[in-house]
Formats: sequence, structure tokens, C-alpha cells
Amino acid sequence: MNPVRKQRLLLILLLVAGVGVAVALALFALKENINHYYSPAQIVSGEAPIGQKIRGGGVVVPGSLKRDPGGLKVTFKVSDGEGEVEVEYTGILPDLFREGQGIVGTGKLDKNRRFIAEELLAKHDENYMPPEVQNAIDKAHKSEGNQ
Amino acid sequence: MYFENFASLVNMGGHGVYVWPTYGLGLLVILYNIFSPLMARKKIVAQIKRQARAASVPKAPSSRDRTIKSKQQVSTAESSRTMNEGEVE
Amino acid sequence: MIWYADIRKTMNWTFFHKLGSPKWFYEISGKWLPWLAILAALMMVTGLTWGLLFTPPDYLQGNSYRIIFLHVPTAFLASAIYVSMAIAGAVTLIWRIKLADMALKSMAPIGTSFCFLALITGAIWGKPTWGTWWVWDARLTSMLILLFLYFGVIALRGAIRSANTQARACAILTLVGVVNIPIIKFSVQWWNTLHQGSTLKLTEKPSMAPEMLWPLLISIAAFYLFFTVALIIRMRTEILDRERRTKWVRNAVEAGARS
Repeated sequence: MNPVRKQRLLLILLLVAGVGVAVALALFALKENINHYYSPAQIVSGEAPIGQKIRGGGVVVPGSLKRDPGGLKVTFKVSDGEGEVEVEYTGILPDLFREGQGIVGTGKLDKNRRFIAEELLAKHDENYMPPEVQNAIDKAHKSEGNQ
Repeated sequence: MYFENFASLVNMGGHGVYVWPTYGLGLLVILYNIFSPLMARKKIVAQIKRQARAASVPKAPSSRDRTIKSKQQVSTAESSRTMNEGEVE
Repeated sequence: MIWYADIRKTMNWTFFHKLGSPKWFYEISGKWLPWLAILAALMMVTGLTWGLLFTPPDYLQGNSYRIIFLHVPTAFLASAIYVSMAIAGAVTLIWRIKLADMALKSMAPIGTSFCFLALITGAIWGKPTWGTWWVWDARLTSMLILLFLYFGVIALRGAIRSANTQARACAILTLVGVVNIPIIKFSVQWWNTLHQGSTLKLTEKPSMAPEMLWPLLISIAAFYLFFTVALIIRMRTEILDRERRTKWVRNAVEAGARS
């Protein structure tokens, strides 16, 4: 490549790298704000502030769902494998709410680090399969459990 | 087909109201990407044809025309593929 | 060995020199275009009808997941097209090849429309699944930024008179924005996002049942082909426009250029 073009190539690489570094720094500085929600580990460790409106999320722990017999209040636990948080929510659960699937909620932490959610969204993972396949997997798990 | 009848095809278990509009929008975007290029091409081809016709109208030659014509002859050969003449190796 | 190096240099130069020729591109693309168009149409119809009508519903999302056959291909392409534009921009700036600028200009509207479709199909899909049309998580926000970048490149071109300045400015803007692409890709890994992680991965098995995976892959390939066809048509028009003073363009137009 002739030297003029080599110089231009270098300038372009420098430009892109420069922008990349600038953006990386900005993102690093804004890290907490960019995280869409606090994970259970972050809530348990105290990273998430109490009493402030935050977003929290995690996977619904199977068997943890308790419904209030009188009204729409439910409590359940969410986990990310490292921490567990109890969530309280009054309202209709989203369509895709399932034990073993994720949720993201907006709300506040009370002084016991229980998450009082005002709004609840369902989070789903990247797996796609027909219902029969899921049923087969469930059956296999059940039979393993019985052994 | 997964759906057993037309009603369930439209309804999709309650999700039809989401799925069908997205496919409608998809169709619009696909049609845009077919017709926008084709229409642009038609316009440019018509423009070039019009210009060629206008240029081929005969004119009485003058000394000024000779210099202009010689400039045109340079560009009717294949034009340079780079933006500044001095760039080609 | 000096003569060997000379021959290699000449061969490379001839190859790239030909690649930079608008006339060569026009003639070659004209031959391929009908076949590519037919193939693209067939694959598009196959992939989308298969996915929409002939696949089972998802165990969790039900029938709303069928939006995936539009959403994933257009999302992939929105990023891929932008990267191609960045490459074309770099070629424009380094080698000043006009054809590269023509490619950048022609890719932009296609990429914009796909980015728009990805965002809107995603929003519509989000309502019955997540429970909301939009969140400002890293994936969605960076895709929206991509849409703004696309609009910016198109607007910038319209705002500049001189052809050379247009080419350079658009190339530079595209290159500055290309930093957004790895952010889009890795957003779901680097931050806690509402948008889930990747179903289709480079080194692992896809987390999708085969009866759903095949129509998805076909749709993705179909959209790539469709992009190529739309791009070729736009570039051919651009070539006719910019090279209109040349003899070969005059002849091609006389001969009743159709597409």
C-alpha cells in the first residue's frame, strides 16, 4: 500500500479506536445507570439503595410463590444463583410469569431488603421449543426426582 | 399448517393482534425496498434519455462550440473511477 | 525474486482496479440480478410462511414468538449493513474509490428500513411477552441509537452539496458510529438487560428446537439476499446517474435499460 493510503488507514483506525475509548469510558462511568435492574446478589450485598425507586430482577424460585387468600397480593422469591430476594407484589401477574422464569420489577426495597414491586415485567430466556418438547423435559425431570 | 381453521389462524390464541400487524409492517418494508429502487431507476433512466434527446438536436456550429465539444469528448470515454484524478497509482 | 513481486503487484492492482470500475460492476450485476432476485423471493416466501404458519407455538410465549421470523433477520441485517457501510466508508477514505461511496449511499436506506422494522416488531412482541412496548435497557437503547445513526448518515448526505465532501463526511460519520455495533452485540452480556441473550450463538448449539430453527435460518438468509438485490438495483441506478456523461451509459440507456 502506498504511504499516503497507509497514513489514511492509520488515521481511520485511530479515529475508530479513539471513539471506542471515549464511549467505553462513558459507559464505565454510567455503569450503574445502564444496568437495567439490580440482580438479587446486588440487592443482598447492599449495592442497591433502600427506599429509593429501583428496578430489581431475578429468576422466580420454584415453590416460593404464595398468594394472599384475600386479594391480589403475592409474594415470591427471586434468585440469580448467588443471592435470594423476597418480592411482594399487588396486582395481576404478567402472562409469562412462571416459576423458573425471570421477572423484572420496579419498586422500592424496604428496610429488610424485601422488594416491594409496583410494576412487574416478565423476562424470558433465549430458549424456544414446542410445548411437547418442554413436557418431555418436565417428565424426564420428574422421573429423575422420583428415583 | 399448525392452525386448524381460519378463525384460529386470525386469532392465534389471542396473539393475532400482535403477530398480524408485524407481518403487515414487514410486508410494507419489503415493498418499500422493492419499489423505491425501481422507481428511482425509472426516474434516472428517463432523465438521461431526455438529456440525450435534447443534446442530439442539431445546432449551427460556431467557434465556441468547437472548444466545448472537445471537452465533452474527453468525458465520453469511461470516466475515472476515483474521486481525484491524481489518486490512481 | 523481484520480478515475482512485480507480477503479484500488477495482478492485485488489476483485480482491485476492476472492482472499482462502475462499468464492470454494472455489467456483472446485471447478469446476476435476475437469479438473485428469484432466489431471494423464493427463500423469503418459504422462510416466512413456514415460520408463520407451519411451526408449532413456543412452550412459553405461544404464538407471539412467530414475530421472531421478521425480528431476528432484520435486527441482524441492521447491524451487518451498518458494518458494510463502515467498510465502504473506510475504502472511500483510503482509496477514494467512487464505487465505494455509491455502495455506502445505496446501503443506507435499506439498513434504515430494516433497523426500523426490527425496533417496531420488537416493541410489538414485547407487549404480550414482557408486558411493555419499550424499556431503556442497553440492547433496545443501542438499537435506537443505530436508527439515529442511519438517519444521520442519510441527512448528512442531503445537506452537503459537493460530491467529494458528501462522500467523506458520510464515511466519517459511519465510522464514528461503528463503535455502537459491538455494544449492540454484547449489550445483553455486559449489562443486566430485559432483552434476553442470544439464541443463535457462534460456538454453541442454538437454543431453539429444529422445527423452529430451520425457518428462522432460511428467513435470515432470505433477508441477506433481499438486501443484496435491493442494493444492486440502487447501485446500478446510482452508477447510471453519476456516469451519465460516458458513452457506455448512453448506449446502455439507449438499448432500453430495464433494471
